[in-house]
Amino acid sequence: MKRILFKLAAAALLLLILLTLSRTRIDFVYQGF
Amino acid sequence: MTASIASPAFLGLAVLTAVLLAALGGRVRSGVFLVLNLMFLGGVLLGPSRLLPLLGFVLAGYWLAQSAPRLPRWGYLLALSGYIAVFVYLRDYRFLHALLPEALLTSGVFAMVGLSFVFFKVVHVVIEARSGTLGELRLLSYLNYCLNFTVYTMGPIQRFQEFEAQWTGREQVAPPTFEAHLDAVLRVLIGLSKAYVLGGLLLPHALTASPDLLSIPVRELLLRITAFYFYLYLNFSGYCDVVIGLGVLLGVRPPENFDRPFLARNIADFWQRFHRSLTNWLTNYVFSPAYKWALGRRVLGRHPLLAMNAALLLTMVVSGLWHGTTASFLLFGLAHGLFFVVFRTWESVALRRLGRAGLRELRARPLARAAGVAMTFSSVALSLVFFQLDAATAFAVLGRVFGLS
Repeated sequence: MKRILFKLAAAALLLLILLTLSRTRIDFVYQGF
Repeated sequence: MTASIASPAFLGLAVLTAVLLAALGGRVRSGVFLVLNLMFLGGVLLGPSRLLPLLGFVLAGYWLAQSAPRLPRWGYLLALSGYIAVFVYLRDYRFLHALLPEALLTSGVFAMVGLSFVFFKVVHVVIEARSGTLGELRLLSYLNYCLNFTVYTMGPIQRFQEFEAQWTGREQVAPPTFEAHLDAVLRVLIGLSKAYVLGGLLLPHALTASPDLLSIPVRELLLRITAFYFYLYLNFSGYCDVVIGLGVLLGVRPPENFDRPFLARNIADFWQRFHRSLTNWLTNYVFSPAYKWALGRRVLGRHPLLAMNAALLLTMVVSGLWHGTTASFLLFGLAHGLFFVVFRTWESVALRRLGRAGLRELRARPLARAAGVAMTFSSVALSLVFFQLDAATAFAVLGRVFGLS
């Protein structure tokens, strides 16, 4: 249970980081292939 | 028309697909997945005008795979060569412009996103069908394998047999627990963070085709080259994390594609750690047959190292040409081919002089390990100038790095 709560917290933190710090426009290098 | 892995269209459809596939079974499940794949490719990623030629290309591969076991050897090789030629034509390789009149060229109209990945998947199916190792090939499964929208744009390249085993439930991709699903969601979030946050931070410092490349200090140039290597890793492995996490939720998990490539101790180790699914494909369908063929020749057969180096060089040239259509990608492949030749030749000489135990002992020394990691890292990083720049600029940049200009 503790492990799952930790993972849920990590997911929430990552989501927060993504929403605040991510660049909106990233081109994927391999998409050209 | 593009749709990134962070777009609502992609993520929304992936979640909808996961829910629908979990609720359905049998042929309906396959049919629904195909409809969703076609909806994304035709409606969002490629557009209907490009979906039709793609479907033609994929269906021609199906016909070839069905016919392959029955065709005589010459007919099979002719049909496979023809399929490769169609790919080269559709992808509009640069050298075609020197051979064909302008009116006959496609000018890249069909050089759509993901074509190279689909091509390698189809060729894998055809070759395995011919060798009798594919198992049953059903059209619906084949189409879903080729057009699976979650891995369509950039892989990883999964084996058809593995896809089929996971799709039919013979192989479970993860235990049906809440925690396994949470792990998959975490993997998606980690991947998005690698690509969009860390990659985004590095992007302004990474090597690009900017006009100041020939005037900035060499130190700055080296920093940009190194930053591009890290950026490429974050960009591609971040994408792979996202699609592998989604794959777990969907029930078909693509293979792992990365394993800490910066720790690679030699070039062979690097390609086992970077874009592994491509390396496996190239090993199975280019290196192994080429090496076997070379060993059967009169001259090359007497010199196994020469045979291996020739096969490695060919494999890396194919890898370079798979990556891109221009001369600089050919040079990228040649550079990696040369890295392999140097490494395997050194290994062979060291083995002769030190013996198996002596070589093992040398490789275990911390200094030798560190030297291997440093040499591999710098060689790969420098080779990426061909990945990012046109051939002339790449040579000019390398000339500056090595103090030649």
